[in-house]
Parts: sequence; structure tokens; C-alpha cells
Amino acid sequence: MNKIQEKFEKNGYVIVPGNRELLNKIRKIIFNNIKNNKKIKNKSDNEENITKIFNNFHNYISLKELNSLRFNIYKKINVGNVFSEIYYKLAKDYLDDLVGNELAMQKKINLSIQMPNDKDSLLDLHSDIYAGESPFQVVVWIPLVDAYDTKSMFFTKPSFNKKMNEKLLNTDDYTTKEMYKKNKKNFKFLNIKFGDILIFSPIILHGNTINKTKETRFSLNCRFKNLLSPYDVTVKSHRNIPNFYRPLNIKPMTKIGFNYLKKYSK
Amino acid sequence: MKKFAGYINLKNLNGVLYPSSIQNIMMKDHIQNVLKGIFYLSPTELLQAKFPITLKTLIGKETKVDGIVMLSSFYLPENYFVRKQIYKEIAKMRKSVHFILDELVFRSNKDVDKIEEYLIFNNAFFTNTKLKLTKEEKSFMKNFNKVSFV
Repeated sequence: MNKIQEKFEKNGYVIVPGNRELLNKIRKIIFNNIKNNKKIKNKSDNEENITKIFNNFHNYISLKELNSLRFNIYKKINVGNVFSEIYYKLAKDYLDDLVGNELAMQKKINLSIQMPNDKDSLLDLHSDIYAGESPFQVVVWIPLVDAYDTKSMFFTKPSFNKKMNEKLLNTDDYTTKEMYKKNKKNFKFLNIKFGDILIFSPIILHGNTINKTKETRFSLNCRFKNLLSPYDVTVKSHRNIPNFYRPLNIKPMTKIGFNYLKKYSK
Repeated sequence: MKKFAGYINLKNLNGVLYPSSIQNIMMKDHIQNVLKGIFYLSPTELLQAKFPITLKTLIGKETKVDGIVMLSSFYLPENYFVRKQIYKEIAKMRKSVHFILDELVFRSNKDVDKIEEYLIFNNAFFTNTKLKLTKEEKSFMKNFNKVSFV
């Protein structure tokens, strides 16, 4: 087992360096979709300016306008395969280690924009598995600016997750918000610099709180799983092909084997 | 501007039953915003019929459309020989078929393999819900009991 695999099994996540050139490429695509905003005077797409504009985005747009803008960019980046191919390339080497090279990739890459003091962009304590997602998947989370403190997301250790998961699934006395508050000390905000990538198991409880920093967070997330691992686990959901995932890198023997099965299965 | 017909099928799509109203909205959006075409109509496949008569009607020359849009290739007939006939007729009529969720398009006979390859994922291996481990899986997993987050 290599270091990345060891760390992932121990912590439930890894923070690894990403290819700077590709990261800048995806940042530029996002930036090109916002730079027409009249309040943005410096439209240069150099690394320094994009960082400045993203971090200060709350000065250019109101909370009311935020979601429609975010949704607009989300729709644009998910047209065609250009963006998703860069995204996959960024994580490929790590996914090879953690998941495999014959994959299913989430069809839509999500964009989060979390402005300071925004109460409407919160994702309370949760595990993606609670929403029918496959426990075989990882989330590739890419911050487009430095993410720290409440500008980032919180995460817990696998050992605590075991206890907390049981509590959450069996409580009738607390809300998820209350559960988080009661157990706050067991969650830490991950510190991830722009340039790094976070890959985590969404079995582990995570979420965010109101961003109390003075900067806005831009981040992307997308799920990957081994193509041949189970999709609907314990419940039938829509987290499968063709509803949620697209197959990626189907190897010749998978095609040959399944076509054999297609012909001779009864 | 090209004209496209929607094709509603009320079969469950890998566990998801898309109501006809939702299928209509998705197909209309795809035709108008992705294909930049005109949304013509969207009849529903006959649930009780042995053969896909509605689909065949849309493909036929009486339906004056350039193409057909449906949610997925999983809505094509399950029987390979019936499907093969459908491919043949679409190609003959020079129409296209657009599968929204699969992000695939059938334009001519050379696209048959691409569609058939995708239909691998309609195999029970991919669509069955994994409810529990088999005896063999349980025994194999004994070696990895410690690697768990729950």
C-alpha cells in the first residue's frame, strides 16, 4: 500500500497536490463566466487577479443574485465534456490509487460559492450515503481559493464517525444542527490551499457552517466510483447509470465479458 | 429549424420512474436549448403492447420530424432483434435519436455499437440493488474488517 492509500484508510480523506496548470484552466473557465459583472473592473485572468476576485466576490454580487448566477455557471460547465475531462485529469493519479482506473463519474460537477455570513448556502452535518449514494464512491473536492476555518468544510475522524453515525441514525431527540453543536469538538475544518485537492469518503460525516471569515469560497465537487462496484446499496435510488453517473474508461474486457453475458444469460 | 418529437416511456429507468410531465419538461428543454430545435409532440409508448408501436410511429414517414428525443437508450426495446430493426428503420428514414441522460445520439448505422455498448449498463449487474454480502464476500471481507468508517 502506498502513502496515499494508507492515509486515506486511516483518515477517510487525503489532501494532495493538483496540477497547477489544469487548476488555473478550470478557474479561468469559471472566471470567464463572471467577469462581465460591471462591478469587476480588473478583468485580467492572471492567477493573482482571479484569486482576489473570487475571495472578494461578496463585494460584486448580492446574496439574492448568488444562486441564479451559481446555477448559470453550473449549467455552462456541465455542457459537453471539456470541463469534466480536465476535472478527471486533475484527480486521475489519485483515483487510480484509491478507486481504480475503470470508473463511473458523476455527470454533473457541482459548484459551491459560499459568501461570508450567508445563511442560505449551508449543508448541515451529513453523510452522502444517507441520500442513497454509493459507499464505494469518493468525492473529489477542489477549492478554487484557499479554504480554511469556516470558509472550508468540517470533517470528523473515522473512529468518531462510527459512534456518531449510530447516534444520528437512532436519535429522536436532536436535529442534525444540534448533533453537530453537541459534538463540535470532534469535527475540524480542513485547511486546503488553492493548488491542493481534497479526496474524501462521503461516508464520513461532514458539512459546513456560516462562513465567518471575510472571504468567499469557490469550490467544486464531483463523485467517482469504480465502474464495477455496486451503485444502489441497501436501497434503490437514482444514484446510478444513466441517472447520476456516466461510465468512464470502459476497458475492452468489460465490454467483451458483458456482451458474452448479454448473449448467454437466461 | 429542425423539428423533434419527444418519446415518453413509463418504464422504470434503473429504479427511477420519471412521470410523463417530467419527461416532457426534460425533452422540451433539451430540444429547445441543446438541439436548438422545435418541440413537436411527445406521445407515450403503449404499456401493454408487445412491440414499441409508438416509437415505430415516430420513426415512420408519416411523422414529419427530423429526430426523436427520449430520456435514455434504456427505453429502447429489450429484445436485441427488435432493437436491430428499430436501428435499421431510423437509419433508413434518416432521422436521429437523442438520448438525454446517456449523452448519446444515434445518427446512422455506425452508431449502433456505441448504443449497444452503453446498454451493458442496463444489465442486472449494474441495476440490481445490493442488499447484502454473499457468503463468499463476507469471508473475503474478514481480512479487511478494520478498514471501515461505520
